[in-house]
Amino acid sequence: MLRAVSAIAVVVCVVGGRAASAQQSTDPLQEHAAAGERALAEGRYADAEREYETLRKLSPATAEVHARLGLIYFQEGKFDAAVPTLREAIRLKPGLPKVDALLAMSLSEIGRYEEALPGVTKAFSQSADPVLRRMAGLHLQRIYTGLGRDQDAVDVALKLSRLYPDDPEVLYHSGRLFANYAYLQTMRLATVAPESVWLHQAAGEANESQGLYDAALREYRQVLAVAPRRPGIHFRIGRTLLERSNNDASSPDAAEARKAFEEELVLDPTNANAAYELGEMHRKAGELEPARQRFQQALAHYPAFDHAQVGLARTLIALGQPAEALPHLKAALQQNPESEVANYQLAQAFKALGNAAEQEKALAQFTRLRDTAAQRRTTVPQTKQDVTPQVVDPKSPR
Amino acid sequence: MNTREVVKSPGMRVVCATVAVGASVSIGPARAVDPITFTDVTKESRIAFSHVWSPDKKYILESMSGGVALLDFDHDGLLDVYLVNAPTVATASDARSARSELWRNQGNGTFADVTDKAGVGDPGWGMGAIAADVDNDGWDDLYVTCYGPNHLYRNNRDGTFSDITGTAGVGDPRWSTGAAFGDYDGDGRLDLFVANYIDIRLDALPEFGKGKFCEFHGIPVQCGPRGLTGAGDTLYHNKGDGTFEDVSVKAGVADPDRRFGMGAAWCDFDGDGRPDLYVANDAGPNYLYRNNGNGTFTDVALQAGTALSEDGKEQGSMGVAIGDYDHSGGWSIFVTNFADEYNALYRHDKALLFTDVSFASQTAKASIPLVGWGAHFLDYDNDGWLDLFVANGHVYPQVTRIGPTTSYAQAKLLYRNNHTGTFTDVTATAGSALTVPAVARGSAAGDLDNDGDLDIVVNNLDGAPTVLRNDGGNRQNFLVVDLEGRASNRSAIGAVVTVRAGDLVQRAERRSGDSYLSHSDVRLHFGLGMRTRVGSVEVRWPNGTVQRFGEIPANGFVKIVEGMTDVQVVRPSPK
Repeated sequence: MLRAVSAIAVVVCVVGGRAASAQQSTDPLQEHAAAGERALAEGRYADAEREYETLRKLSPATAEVHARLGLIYFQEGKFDAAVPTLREAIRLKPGLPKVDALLAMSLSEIGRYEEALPGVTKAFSQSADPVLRRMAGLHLQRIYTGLGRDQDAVDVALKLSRLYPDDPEVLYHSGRLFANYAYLQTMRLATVAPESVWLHQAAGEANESQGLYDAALREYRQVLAVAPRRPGIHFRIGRTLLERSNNDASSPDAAEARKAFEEELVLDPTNANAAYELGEMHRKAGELEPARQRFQQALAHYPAFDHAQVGLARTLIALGQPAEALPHLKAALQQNPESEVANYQLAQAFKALGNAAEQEKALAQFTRLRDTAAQRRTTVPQTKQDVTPQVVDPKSPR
Repeated sequence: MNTREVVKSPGMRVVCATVAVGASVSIGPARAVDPITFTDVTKESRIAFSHVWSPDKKYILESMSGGVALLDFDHDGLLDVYLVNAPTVATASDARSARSELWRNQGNGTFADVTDKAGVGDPGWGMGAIAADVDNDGWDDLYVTCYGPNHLYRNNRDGTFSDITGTAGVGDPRWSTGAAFGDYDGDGRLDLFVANYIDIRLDALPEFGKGKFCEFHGIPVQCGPRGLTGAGDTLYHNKGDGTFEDVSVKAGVADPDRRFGMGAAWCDFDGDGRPDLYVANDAGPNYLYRNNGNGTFTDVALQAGTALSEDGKEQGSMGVAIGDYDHSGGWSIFVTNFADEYNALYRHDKALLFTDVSFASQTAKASIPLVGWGAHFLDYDNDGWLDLFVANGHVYPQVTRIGPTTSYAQAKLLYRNNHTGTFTDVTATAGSALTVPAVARGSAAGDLDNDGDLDIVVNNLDGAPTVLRNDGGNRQNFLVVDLEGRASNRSAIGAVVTVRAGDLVQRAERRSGDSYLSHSDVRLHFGLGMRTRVGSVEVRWPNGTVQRFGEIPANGFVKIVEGMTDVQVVRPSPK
């Protein structure tokens, strides 16, 4: 069940006004209505249901009572009961606002997607109420998925992500949808082309992302066995070896990774990622001139590569050319103004140039970002990157 | 009894003062080796010290000790060794369960345990040790940092010490780590900086493996320091009457941010004649305090480029080494760091401006899987250029569960200076003693056998220390310069010596306290390559006066006393 709490907020203001007006009277109808409202307000849905069922018996022709009861059923997850009740409310008073949407969402909850689709579509596309629209969107995403209309589901998910970019529930459902979609596509790939390079590559990437480096390497090498000149695979092998070597600087993996990146560039000289990784490896080995050349190669094919801009800038600073580093750091910051390392390196470049004012400015920005990032790191897990990032994240209690 | 004779006097007098006991001595059997190697002579030295340890290191308190001090406490011209010990949480209630020890150099390659006679065996939960003449009586006193009150032992000049902590007022009760003596206000008396680590109580230790900062690569480990509170630092001003005053807050070095202080060292980074202060902080930005000359300091580490890694990340910093490794005339800083980080080499470009050249110098990469502690710029091969030594060892015994490639005990690192701003890792070829895995902590460098090359003593957390004898370093020439202040502090801490030998110009600063929780030989060692004489020696004393001396033959141990025109040769060439 999608979260129904907000449904009350949506509908209570619509159907609640009429029902609640009964509180002023002392007749049985009004007493049940008042008791039902109290129970509803306090979250005692079973009590609210009992009061409104009594009301329905006492006043079967009051649309608002049916609508209210339908809402209570919805809230209780009794969607089978909600559907006829809400239909009756609409039959009695077709103009009751938002009840159509609640009915459609109830139908969606019990898997009657075809019936639910028009009402939910209308609520998502036409409602001016952002809360109702959000709920309808989530249901619509589910309905399309249930109906096998994957493209429509993805469209809705993308639209929802745009409308509610920081909504946890929206993020969860869209993430789940995309993951599921990816899974289904890969399964299909496995069915239609079990020995294809595509499947081996997909398996390699899946294993690599999970840290199953040996399995990933096996899959990537399968790709090369079938298609030795396939671009991108040597790079992936290099990345996997590099990751595997992270815990053991003395292992031969790093040297093999370097070879893999070089092989990648033989096949595809435009692979900026491979050139960048070689640049980083040279830089960390203190081989500054080759590092510079590799970073420049990466940027020649991918000028917006902010990590490569920073890598080149650091290399130039180390080579005693801070003035040459400045444009690269500024370019990196254009791509990613929130980059701590770019701001820090900018401060280092200005320091080397003796420009204390600009150094202070860059340090202030760096300090601000650092404090913010420290806050963020406590809650947001760090994601793997496709290349070695220009940062070092703390992995330990130290 | 000393005899004095003039051996060289081109415009000045060089006087030879041969110490009666001062013949060149050796530690263990000498042997011809090539290349230069370090040999583990711990057993031959008869130093039977063993650091107490707990197998699991469930608490951070059990992982950080201890340091080592090399001092000539009895004035016999030979370096003695003080090794600091600490109990475990389980044995903490037994105050005598961990005995720190003083081992007297007997001049024949062996040492004798004189701890009980000296009265320096029970400082408590020991961490580190430094030595200097705090009362200007000509004899080195000993300061021991502890978890709990620190101790200042006054040298009684008869082989014994007296604990004068209470009178002196230097018993910082917190968890102290690195300490360093320096005369920050130029009054001729040594002041004392003490770094403190974590504010933690034995009866409220964080539970092993329970919490966000109690995991390493997914395995449960001891907690901290992240997630715990730092303890603040202390600066004691020496009042000259046997007492000290806590001026930390007034001076601006009290560490209000409560960072996790570790190694500390004084150094006149900006050449203004006033010592500045560098403090390595674990899991936090390091401090570089500029001495403002009015009793206050300003932290300029971020602006100077020595607070963070080159990514702008704080590192788990432990030890500090300072030296002019590139003959630029500036003091560069080397900082040892935690695993998954790199040891940082901050090259001094100009006054208080540094560049992180760790990767460019080729010293960073090999350090990434290691946890570095003690560190030294030392010219182990006497070629006139400072090389680098690092003592390593992990904090968590549990790291072996991560995989076969991650080790708890770790090899040391030795880098040879290529004279080009880069270093070459020569660990594998410098003797098997360096590659034997150990859980090293503090280390001190000094010429234990007075043979003209630098030896190293490492205090290991889990048991016996390692005494590393330099074999072959003295195949090239050297000069060792000892100093004695008169108007300046008697230990001449803060004095800078410049030695010129042909095209070779080297500088060294006299320092008390650096590396990790340790104190090295205060005599300044200059390698000379194959040069047979030094053209000139210049001393800038801590009070700012400068003395220059003429030619001195190579391979000597000389002493310069402030204000005296003679250079005393205190020990003949061992060659």
